[in-house]
Amino acid sequence: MNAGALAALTLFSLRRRLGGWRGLAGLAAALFPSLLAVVFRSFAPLEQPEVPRPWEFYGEFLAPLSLYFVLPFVSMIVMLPALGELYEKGAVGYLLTRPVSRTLPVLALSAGGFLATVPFLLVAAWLPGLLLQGLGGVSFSFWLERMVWLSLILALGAATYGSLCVFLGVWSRRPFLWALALLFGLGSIAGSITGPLRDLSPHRYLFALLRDRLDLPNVWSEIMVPDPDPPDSLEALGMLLLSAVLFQFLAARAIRRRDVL
Amino acid sequence: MTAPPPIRCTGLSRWYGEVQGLSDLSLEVTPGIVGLLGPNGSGKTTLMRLLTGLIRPTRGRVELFGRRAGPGAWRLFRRIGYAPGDDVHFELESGRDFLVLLARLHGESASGARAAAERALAAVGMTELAGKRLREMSKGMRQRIKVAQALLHEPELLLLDEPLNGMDPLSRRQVMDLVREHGRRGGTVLFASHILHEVESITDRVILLHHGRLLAEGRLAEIRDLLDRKPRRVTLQGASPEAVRRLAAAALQSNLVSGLEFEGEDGLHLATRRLGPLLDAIQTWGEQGDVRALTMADENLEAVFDLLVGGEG
Repeated sequence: MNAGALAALTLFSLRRRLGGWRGLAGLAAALFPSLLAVVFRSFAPLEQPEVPRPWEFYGEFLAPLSLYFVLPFVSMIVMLPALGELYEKGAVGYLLTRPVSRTLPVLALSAGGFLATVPFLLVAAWLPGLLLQGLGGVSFSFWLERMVWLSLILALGAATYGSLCVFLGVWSRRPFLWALALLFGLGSIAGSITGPLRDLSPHRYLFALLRDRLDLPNVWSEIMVPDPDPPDSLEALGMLLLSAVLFQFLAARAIRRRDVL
Repeated sequence: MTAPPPIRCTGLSRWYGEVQGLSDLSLEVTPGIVGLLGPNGSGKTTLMRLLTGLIRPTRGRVELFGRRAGPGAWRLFRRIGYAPGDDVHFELESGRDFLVLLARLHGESASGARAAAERALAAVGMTELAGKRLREMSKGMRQRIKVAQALLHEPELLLLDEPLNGMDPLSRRQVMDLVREHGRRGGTVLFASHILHEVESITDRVILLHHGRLLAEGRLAEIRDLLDRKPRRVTLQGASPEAVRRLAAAALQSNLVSGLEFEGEDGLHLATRRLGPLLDAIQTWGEQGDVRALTMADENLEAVFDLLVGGEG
């Protein structure tokens, strides 16, 4: 594969995905956990024993919030248009009439889109932690470990959901509806409740990793139903990586079949 | 052994649901400049997209340089430059960055891509203006960028879909010169347009499409001969109803018309196979003040197609 072409198209996609209203919307979503951290820091009566400790609030509330809300939202607004928008406008024709395999634009535009989600996810993982860590009680290295793990898990989620979004952008003429259904429906919701769809939900595996790395209970919030047989970290990692590869493969297949009208 | 033609289509058809885009098209394009003529909706863009593999045929096949075209035949694009009919759409990029990006996809290094972009920009006279973002450019400037991106890698086969749309006269001449030069150097150009005059000024080899079908193919002069054998349509507007009756009588007596039809009180349609003598006669009748206006429907391409398909009415 032509590495220069791959790099040039990746950079193009990265620039394009970070700019415009989508970038602002992604930033707003990424700042939401930080806003709650500011509220917590300003108003939580920490002297009362029933109020969670800052690291508990971060681990048991803000980290899952990033996983269940920020991750799908950012993935959708940043990654869905990576190829879908080019199809919508007919602009993809300029890329597909070059002497490169059609897999190359899929990989490059996905990579650029993925890199564009990273800053937003870092804001969602790190800023609330940095805001809360000064409240004392535990060492900074404890916070650091949590922030690093949350960043890595969110990045893994972005690779999986981002690949799904790229596939939907190529495969469907209504990718937004599909993305809503799959990222929030199959992802956030089906991954939190019992039923046959739970095993198919990337969120089941993302939450399993989060639970293991951040020492969380088996549920997040009272709405979520405990997973009777939660996957271990290795299984979760394998499933997520496999899903990302599968969605990339499906996107590469779809781009060979979809007409550019 | 002779080299395969740059373009060969065999039984090529494409349907969009119930709508026919192209029907059973078989043709060969040999090196040189060929005009692809047809009114809007005739199938020109469909053919271009089929040639580039952007859409797949419902039936039939496309071969470029003897190799089957399609999504998997991406190596062919080393030899093909394509300027689509759609707008450029990479609005946030500057013209120069857009070309550099596409040149990288041709395997150029960063410096090679910049050099290729500058060459292509110079060829379309956009060197000075290429730093602007595409969304800030006029339609004519974007058209030139579109042509430039097709020239980036100096391809053997150029597929240009309505490349002169929205261009000012100077840019038009520049692009036409480029096309002629490409043809002179032994390259192949398929130049789609719905304007007869545009095509006539760069080539006399044409392919005529109409409603997705191949209507005629060959030298423009041959097609003109064919046209001359078909009745041409002339519409007269008389100065008064009486004048129209006098004109109709004169036309019938002249033996120059093969058909005659009144329209309203002052309109008269004449069909003729002897257009020149009829126009001379009309000029004489006009001197008597009976003719207020004369229109020839066959001045535009749509009418030429109507004649060729036999739809004189």
